Amino acid sequence: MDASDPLTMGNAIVTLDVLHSGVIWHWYVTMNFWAKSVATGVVLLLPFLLTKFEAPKLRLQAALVSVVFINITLLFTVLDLHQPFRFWHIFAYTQTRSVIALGAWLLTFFNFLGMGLAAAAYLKKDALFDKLLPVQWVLAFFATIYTAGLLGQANARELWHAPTETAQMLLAATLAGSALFLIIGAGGEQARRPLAQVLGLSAFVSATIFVAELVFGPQKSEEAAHLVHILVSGELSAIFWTGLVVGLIVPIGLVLAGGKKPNQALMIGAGVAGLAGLWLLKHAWLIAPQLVPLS
Amino acid sequence: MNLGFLVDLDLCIGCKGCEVACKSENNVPVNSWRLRVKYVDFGVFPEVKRTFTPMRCNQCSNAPCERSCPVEALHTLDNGIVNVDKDRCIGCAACMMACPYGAIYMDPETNTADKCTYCAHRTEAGLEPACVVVCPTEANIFGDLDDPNSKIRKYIHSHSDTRVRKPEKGTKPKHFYTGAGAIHLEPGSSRREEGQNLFGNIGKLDKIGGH
Repeated sequence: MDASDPLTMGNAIVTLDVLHSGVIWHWYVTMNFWAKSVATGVVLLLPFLLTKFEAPKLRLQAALVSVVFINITLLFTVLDLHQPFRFWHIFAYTQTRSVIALGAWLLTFFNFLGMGLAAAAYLKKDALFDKLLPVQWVLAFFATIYTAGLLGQANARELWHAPTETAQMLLAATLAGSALFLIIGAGGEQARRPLAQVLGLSAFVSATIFVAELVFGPQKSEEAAHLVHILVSGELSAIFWTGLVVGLIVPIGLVLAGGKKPNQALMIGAGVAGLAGLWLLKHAWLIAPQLVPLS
Repeated sequence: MNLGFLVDLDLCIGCKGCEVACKSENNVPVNSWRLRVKYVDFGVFPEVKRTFTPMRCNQCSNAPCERSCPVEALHTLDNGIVNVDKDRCIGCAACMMACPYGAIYMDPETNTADKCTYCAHRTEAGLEPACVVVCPTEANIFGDLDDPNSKIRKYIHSHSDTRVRKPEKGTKPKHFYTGAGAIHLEPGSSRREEGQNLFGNIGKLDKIGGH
C-alpha cells in the first residue's frame, strides 16, 4: 500500500492541517464587478441610442449614471484593500504585467473622461460630447473586458479561466446598461422596445453560455469539475440558480410578455430583475473557487 | 545562484519542528503559516498509514503571484527567491488568488501579504533557513540549483521520483519532493471532514487581515 496507489486514495482523509483561509475576495469585489458592468454598459449602448433617438436628456442621464457607478466600483475596490490608504501605490509603482494595475489606470481615465462628458452634457455642449464619446466607448470596452484578464491571472482559480469569460463580461455590460436605461426611462417611450430587445438578447445569450458550459460542457480538470459542481448542485447552487432565473430568465420572459409595445412598469421590473440577478451570478462566480483548499 | 528546496518525504517524521522554527524565526502571527506540515491518513484498518507533507512557498521561476501584484511588492531576488516588500503591499490579495499552492497569507497584524522567503534574511548572511537547521532527520534539503556540486542538485539527479506540485500550472516551482504520491501533493486526492481533525473542529478562519 503506498500513497500513489489510486485504490487507496478514496480512503485518504486530511487529519491535521492549518485552517482554510476562507473567502478573501468577498462581496466588495462583487460590487466592483456589478457596478462596473452598469458604468461601462450605458456607455457601450449610448451611441446606438443617440443615432436612433433624439432625447434631450439622454447624454446627461447616461454620463451621470456612468460616473456614479464607476465611482461605486472604485470605492469598493479601495475598500477591499487591506491597506486602503496605500491605494496610490498602484499609480506610483505600477507593475505593467499586472492586469489589476492596468485596470486601475483604465478605470481612472474612464472616470475622468466620464466627468468631462457629464460636464459637457450639463453645459449642453453636444458637439464636444459627441467628439469625446468614441474615446469613452473604447475605454468602456476595455474596462469591461479587463476583468476577464484579471480573473485569468488568478492562476489558482480554475473556474475563472472559462474561455467564455470575456463574452460573459460584455454580455453583463449590455444587460446592465440596458436594464438601467429601462429603469430610468432613458430615451423615452420610443427607446423602450430596442432597449428591451438588448436586455432580452443579452440575457438569452448569457444564459445559453452558462447552461452549455456548466451543465452540458466537459470540464478541463478535476478541480474545474468540482467547482462547477459547487455552483450547479452544491454549496452555491441556490445563489447561482436564483441569479440565473431572476437575472436572465425573468427578464427574457418580461421582454417577451411586453411584445411590440412594452409598458414602462413591466420593463422597470425586467431591469430590476436583471440587475439583481446579475449581482447574484457574479457573486456565486466569485466565491466558488475560494471555497476549495489549494493544497 | 538559483536557490531551491527539496523535501525527502521518506525521511520526514511529521514532528513539525520546521513549522515551529519557521514561526519563531519569522514572527509569524497566530493563525498564519509560512510553512505547514499536512497529515493525511489512508487505507482501511488495520492497513492504515499516515503521510506527512511539509508545504511552503515554491519560489516559482514563473511566479503568478509576482505577475499579478499591481505594485511589485512581490519581486524575485538575484538568488531566485520571490520576496515580499511589506511596505509596498496594498493588501489587494491578488497574489493569494494567483498562487496555486495556497502559500500566501494576509498577515493580520500588518494587513499585508506574506509568505515563506526561504528565510531570505538568513540566506543573505550565508545561513540556512531555520526549517533546514532544525530538521532532526535532514529531510529538508536546501541549496543552489545551478551548482552541480550542491547537495540538492545531486539529490535531484539521484532520485528519479523527484516531483513538484501542480506542474500543469506552468509555474516552474523550485520546491521538489521525493517519495511523494498523489496523496501528498494533490489536494483533490484526500477529503477534508469538518470535526474530524486531530486537534479541533474548526474548518475555516472567520477573519483575516483588516476585514
